[in-house]
Amino acid sequence: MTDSAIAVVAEVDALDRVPELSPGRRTLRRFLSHRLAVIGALIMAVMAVCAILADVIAPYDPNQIDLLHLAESPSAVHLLGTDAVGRDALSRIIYGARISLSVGVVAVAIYMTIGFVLGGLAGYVGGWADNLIMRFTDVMMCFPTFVLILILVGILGPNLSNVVFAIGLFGWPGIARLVRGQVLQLRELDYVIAARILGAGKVDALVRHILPNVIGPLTVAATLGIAGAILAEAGLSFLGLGVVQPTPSWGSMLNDARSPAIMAVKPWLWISPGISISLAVLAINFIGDGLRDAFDVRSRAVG
Amino acid sequence: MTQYILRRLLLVLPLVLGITIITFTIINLAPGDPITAMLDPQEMRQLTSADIEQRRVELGLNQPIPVRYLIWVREALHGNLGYSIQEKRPVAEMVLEKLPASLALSLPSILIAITLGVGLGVLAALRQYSLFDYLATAAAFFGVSVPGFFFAFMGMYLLGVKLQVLPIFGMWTPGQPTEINLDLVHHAVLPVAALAIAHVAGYMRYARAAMLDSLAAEYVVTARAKGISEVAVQWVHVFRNALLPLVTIAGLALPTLIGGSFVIETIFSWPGVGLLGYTAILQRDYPLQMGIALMSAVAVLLANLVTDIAYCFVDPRIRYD
Repeated sequence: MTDSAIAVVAEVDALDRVPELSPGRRTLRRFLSHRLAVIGALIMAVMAVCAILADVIAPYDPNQIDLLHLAESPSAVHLLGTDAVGRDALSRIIYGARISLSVGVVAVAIYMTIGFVLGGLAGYVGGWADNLIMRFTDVMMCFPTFVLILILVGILGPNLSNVVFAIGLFGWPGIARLVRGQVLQLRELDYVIAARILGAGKVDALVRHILPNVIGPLTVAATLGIAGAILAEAGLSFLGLGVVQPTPSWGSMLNDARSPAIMAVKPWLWISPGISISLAVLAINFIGDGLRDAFDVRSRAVG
Repeated sequence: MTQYILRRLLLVLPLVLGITIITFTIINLAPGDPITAMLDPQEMRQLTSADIEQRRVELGLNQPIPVRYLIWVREALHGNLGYSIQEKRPVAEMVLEKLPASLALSLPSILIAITLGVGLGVLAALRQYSLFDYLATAAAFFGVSVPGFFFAFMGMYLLGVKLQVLPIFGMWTPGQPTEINLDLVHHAVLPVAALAIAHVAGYMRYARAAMLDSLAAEYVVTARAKGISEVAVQWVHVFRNALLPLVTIAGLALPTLIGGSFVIETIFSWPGVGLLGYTAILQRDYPLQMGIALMSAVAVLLANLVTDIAYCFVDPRIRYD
């Protein structure tokens, strides 16, 4: 028997045993059998450790200026080289993980909350509330989100908290639609109707019977949302409208390298932050894909 | 169907209302005096402060907010989106002037994205689990994960700086005629590719998933059981059902495309609406920013309307719910 055949048999065995597991264990098991998702989770784990322990791991202070090594190519002293003012690129990449990941997580937490509340209300209350909220959602979806974020950060002034706030404020419409759709679908299912007949109140049915089942698709959406938020922060910082100097951010490192003199002559200054952004987003997309399979959620969104 | 189209058209009204309310709100949140933004600056130079106060009353800017909103909508409907603070010119005129340059990037991008993305997605689905399928899926992951500006940097560095086969700046070589010519196409290659890449990946993933769904559908099993040739099954039963919804997906891509053009036009110094908008944000030119936001939103609204109605023609099952 070939390896792949053994793998298939093992998979079928695993599927046969599935009914004995609790839903949580089953999801975990499916996630772990998704090879790309595990790779993504490992990459993210390394990045998270970098972000949390940046002070310990980074070889230099990210803002320390080394006047003897200005804009140098990678060497034993500075593994990824130094930027135009002599700061260690590797240290700035490591600290940059802190910015990217925290922007991603916090901004998504903000808009998930908004989308969850609005979508839940629209789906469960229905009637005029549904109409009002969903038309508002439709309106917000007409505006290009990235442009609104740029304008708001332009008005408030570029800094870390304004970036998080702007991404958080405009990211919710997709989530609201998702939650509403799920609630509408679940509300009509037999077990929810049964719970209502058995005397569960409207709120009780919503909180105890409907919302737990929305968690799966929401987790997937949140994961992919973090990837989107990291891209948005990188794009803002790249345009000089995000995290500003001297805070190290991957997007602003690319912004520093925009002048033709650096872009053409010192490519190491933009390659490493570019790869960092791509790798982080790729890893999170892998995780999202694995979660989607694990929760068995179908999605047809075009990215 | 006529009823569906009528109801879909009616839905546009509250959306336009909402778009104008949100734009108006942000304008009023932005710093600066709306009166100076609404008046023709040439004219304003000759006015005394008493005159300006008079204009304020004439334009109704001393009125309560709801009345001011109605006045602003009336002006917007007449094409007056205010004047740019920096350039002292009407916003609508400035945006329309830059629009052809932006379309020169976005139309080819979206066409390439749809043909390439759908083509790859369909092939990948027809050969599910083949090497081609794995490679296409992997490429799609990279396509949605690598930011457009990093992709642009790589293209500029490799093709523009190292190999020197493509220009990396502007729409035409300086000194050359500024018309639709090969020079323009040459300059457009990199920005179009950078703008299209994420969309190619998106359409590929969509088309692959939709095809797989459709291939497993019972009507396909039935068609095969009837003895219809595989080619006919694929063309008549699978493609049609899998790819029809793409019509609406194409409409949904517009906001991402507009957002992406802000970044890509800036990198390549491409003189379109995106670069205009980016400059407006850096210069705190609020009337210009809001004009661009309003016009983008209306464009998205119309695109969705057109795709919904087009979908209703290609798929007779559609009914308004």
